[in-house]
Amino acid sequence: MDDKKIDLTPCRPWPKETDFESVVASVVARASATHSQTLSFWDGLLVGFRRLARPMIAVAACLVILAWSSALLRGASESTATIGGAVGDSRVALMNWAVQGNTASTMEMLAVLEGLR
Amino acid sequence: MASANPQIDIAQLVRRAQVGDKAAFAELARMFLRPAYAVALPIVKNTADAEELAQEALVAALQKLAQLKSPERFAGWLMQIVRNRSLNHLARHRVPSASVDSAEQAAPQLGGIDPLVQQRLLNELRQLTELQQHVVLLHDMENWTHTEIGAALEISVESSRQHLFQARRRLRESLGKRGIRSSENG
Repeated sequence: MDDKKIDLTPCRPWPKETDFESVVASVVARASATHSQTLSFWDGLLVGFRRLARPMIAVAACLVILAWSSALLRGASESTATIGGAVGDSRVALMNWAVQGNTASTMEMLAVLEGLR
Repeated sequence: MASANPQIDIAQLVRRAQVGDKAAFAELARMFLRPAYAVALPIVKNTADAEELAQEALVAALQKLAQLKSPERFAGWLMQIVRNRSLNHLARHRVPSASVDSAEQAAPQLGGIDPLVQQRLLNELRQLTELQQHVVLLHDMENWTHTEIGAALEISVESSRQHLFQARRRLRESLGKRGIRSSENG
């Protein structure tokens, strides 16, 4: 194999060593100016979505738990309402019973009501 | 790309640049400005255009960096942008036969380099295939390794070696005929 380098320095006049950093600075300035604009648009949206992904999942999980517990509570309150309704009906029945002149005393009726609470 | 582990360094730089790190932008520009020029030159065959295209391609690559899924493939991705832009430029500004004389007049004398020697060397380079020119310029002008050239040009390491060998042999023959001394520095 021909492993000796050929001096191609004359083909590489650009940029001169003295100008190299200024050319680099110019490239960086042009690139970063538009890079930040691009980031603020679609890429920014993507980056923002990626950053928000975990909090969004956490919030979604919380919402699911809330919905589930709220459904449980609703079910429980419906049961309570049914019981409450039954108690109310019993009270009305006792009142009717007392008003109709039955022998049960008011104290007994109150004791019964107290027991139903 | 003179670094012990270029893949890791470049991938890290690219990741930093993707989140807007300007220092990483600058380091990537330093590393790839001249290689981009070395890839553009064999296509557009004009130093001034190659300079402009290298800068434009690098700016475009840095701007679109967020689109790059594999940071370790930055070199190949950039070189593809340089190639595409150079070919587009060539298609737009194709001149039937670029006069050597006008090119010699246009070639600026930079860094004490004789423009005549530069132009003759460029002319001899043009006799090589495009791939041979890419390989010989990246290897002998930019000191890239065959592994780096292979990754950037998407060819095998062995293919890169072969192209370099053939390019050097042809250049030595033609430069020797024209009496231009090719200083060899191992």
